[in-house]
Amino acid sequence: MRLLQPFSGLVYSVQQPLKTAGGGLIIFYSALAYAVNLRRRAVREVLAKQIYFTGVQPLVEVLVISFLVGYLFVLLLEKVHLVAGEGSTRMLIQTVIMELGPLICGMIVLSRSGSAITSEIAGMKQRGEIRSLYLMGIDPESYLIAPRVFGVAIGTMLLSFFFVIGCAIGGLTLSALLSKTSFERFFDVFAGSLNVLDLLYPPLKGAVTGLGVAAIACYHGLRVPASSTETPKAVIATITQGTFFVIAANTLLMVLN
Amino acid sequence: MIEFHEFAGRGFQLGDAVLQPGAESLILVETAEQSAEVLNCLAGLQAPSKGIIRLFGQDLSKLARDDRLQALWKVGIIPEDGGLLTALPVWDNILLPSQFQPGRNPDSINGEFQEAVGFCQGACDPVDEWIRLLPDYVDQYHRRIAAFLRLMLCRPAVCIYENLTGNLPARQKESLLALTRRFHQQQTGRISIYLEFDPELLAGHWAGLLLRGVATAHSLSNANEHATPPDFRISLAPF
Repeated sequence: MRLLQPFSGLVYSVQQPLKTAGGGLIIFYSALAYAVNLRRRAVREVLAKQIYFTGVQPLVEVLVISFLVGYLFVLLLEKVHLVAGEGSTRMLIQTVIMELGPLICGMIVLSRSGSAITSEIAGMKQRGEIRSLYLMGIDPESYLIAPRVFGVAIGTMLLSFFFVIGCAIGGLTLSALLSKTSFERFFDVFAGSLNVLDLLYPPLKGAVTGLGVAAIACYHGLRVPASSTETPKAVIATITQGTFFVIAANTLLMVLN
Repeated sequence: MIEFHEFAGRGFQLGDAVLQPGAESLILVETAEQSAEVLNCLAGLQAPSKGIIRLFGQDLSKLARDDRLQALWKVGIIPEDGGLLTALPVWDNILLPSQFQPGRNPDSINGEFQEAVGFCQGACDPVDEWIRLLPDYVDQYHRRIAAFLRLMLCRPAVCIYENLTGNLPARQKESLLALTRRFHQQQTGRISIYLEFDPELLAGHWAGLLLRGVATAHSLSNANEHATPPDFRISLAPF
C-alpha cells in the first residue's frame, strides 16, 4: 500500500468513477424493478413533472441552440472549404444530427435536470423526508427513483428529437442561402440521406444518455451526508462524472452504430 | 399488541413492556436521537442494539422489504415536525400514503378527508387557507395538523407520534393532544404511542402507561448511521 501512496490522488480519481458506476447501476436496476409502480397516480405525477422539467421546459432553448449549431456547422464547413452545398448537408446529418446532437442534449440535461435531481434528493435526505416516506410505508425507490430515471430518459429522448429538427432547419437554411439553391433542394437531399432507423437513432441515444444521467444524479443525491455543505460537492460530482458518462456512452454508441 | 423485550438502544434501555390493544403510552427518553432510534426500531428501519420489539407479533426489521412496508400501512406515524414532503403542497402530502394502500379509491379518500377535517374543526384555521400551500409556508402547528389528517386517512391500528408537541405554545400543544387522544378513543383496540424526549412537554397531561428510558453506558456513535435494513438498497442515514 505504501508503494501506492504517491499515487493516492490517482487511485482516488479512478476509484470514485468506479463507485459511481456501481451505484448508478444499482439505481438503474432499482428503477427497472419498481417500474411497475408507475401505475400509481402519485408516482405518475412525479414522472409527468420530471418529463416536463427535462423535456418540455427547455424546449425553446434547445431549439435555438440546435438551430445555431446547425447553422454554425455549415458555416464552418464553408469557411474551411471542406465541403459545400449538398456535401455539407450530408456531413451535417452524419456528424451533428446523428452523433453530436444527443451528446449536446445529454450535456444540457445533465446541467439542468442532473444537478436539480441531486440537490433535491440531497435536501430531502437531510430534512428526513426519505425516512418519512419509509415510515408512511412508501418505498422511496419506487416513489423517488423510478419516475425520475424514466422521466429524464423520456425527456432527453424528446429533446434529442427536437434537436434533430432544429439543427436540420438551421443547417439547411444556411446551406441554401450560401449556395443560392432552393431550400427544397436541400430538404430533398436531407430526406434522401435519412431512413426511419436514422431518425430513431438520436432519440434512442438520448434515452440511454438520460437513463445514465438520472441514475448518476440520484446516486449522488442519496449519498449525501447530514451536513448541507455537502450538497454542492454532490452536485459537482454529478456534473463531473455525468460529463464523463455522457461522452463515454455517446462514443460507445457511435462505435457500435 | 406491541412488545418490548429487554429493549435497549445506544446509551439507554427501556426494558420489558407489553402494550395491549387500546393502550395509550408515553415513551420518555433523553434525546431526540434516542426517540428517533426507538421509532426506527418500531418501524423496522433498524434492528435494536439489544432485545426485541414486536409489532403485531412480528419484528419488522426481520421482515422482507415489501412485507415490512405493508405492515407499516397499518401504522400511522407522525415523525418529528410532521414529516411532510416540502416539494408537495400540503393537500398532496395528506393524500400521499393512502394512494399507496390497496383497495382505496379517490372518491372514498375524499369523503374520509372531509370527515377528518370535520374532526379537527375548531382546532385549526380553516383548511382552505393553508391546504394548497407548500409546507414551508405553513406554521409548525398546522404542519402537524396536516400530518395528523394524513395519519387519520390511513385508518391506523397503531399511532406513533414522535415529539408531537415539541416547540409548540401551550395552547396548541393541548389542542393537538386533545385531538390525538380523541382519535385514539374513536376505535376500540387502537394503540397510541407518544415518543418524547422533553419531560416537561407532557407534564400534567399524562395518566396513561409511561415507559421511561434509563441511561446506560453512553455511546457516541450516531444511531442513524445504522438505520438501514439490510435489504434496503438506498441508505436512509442520516435523517
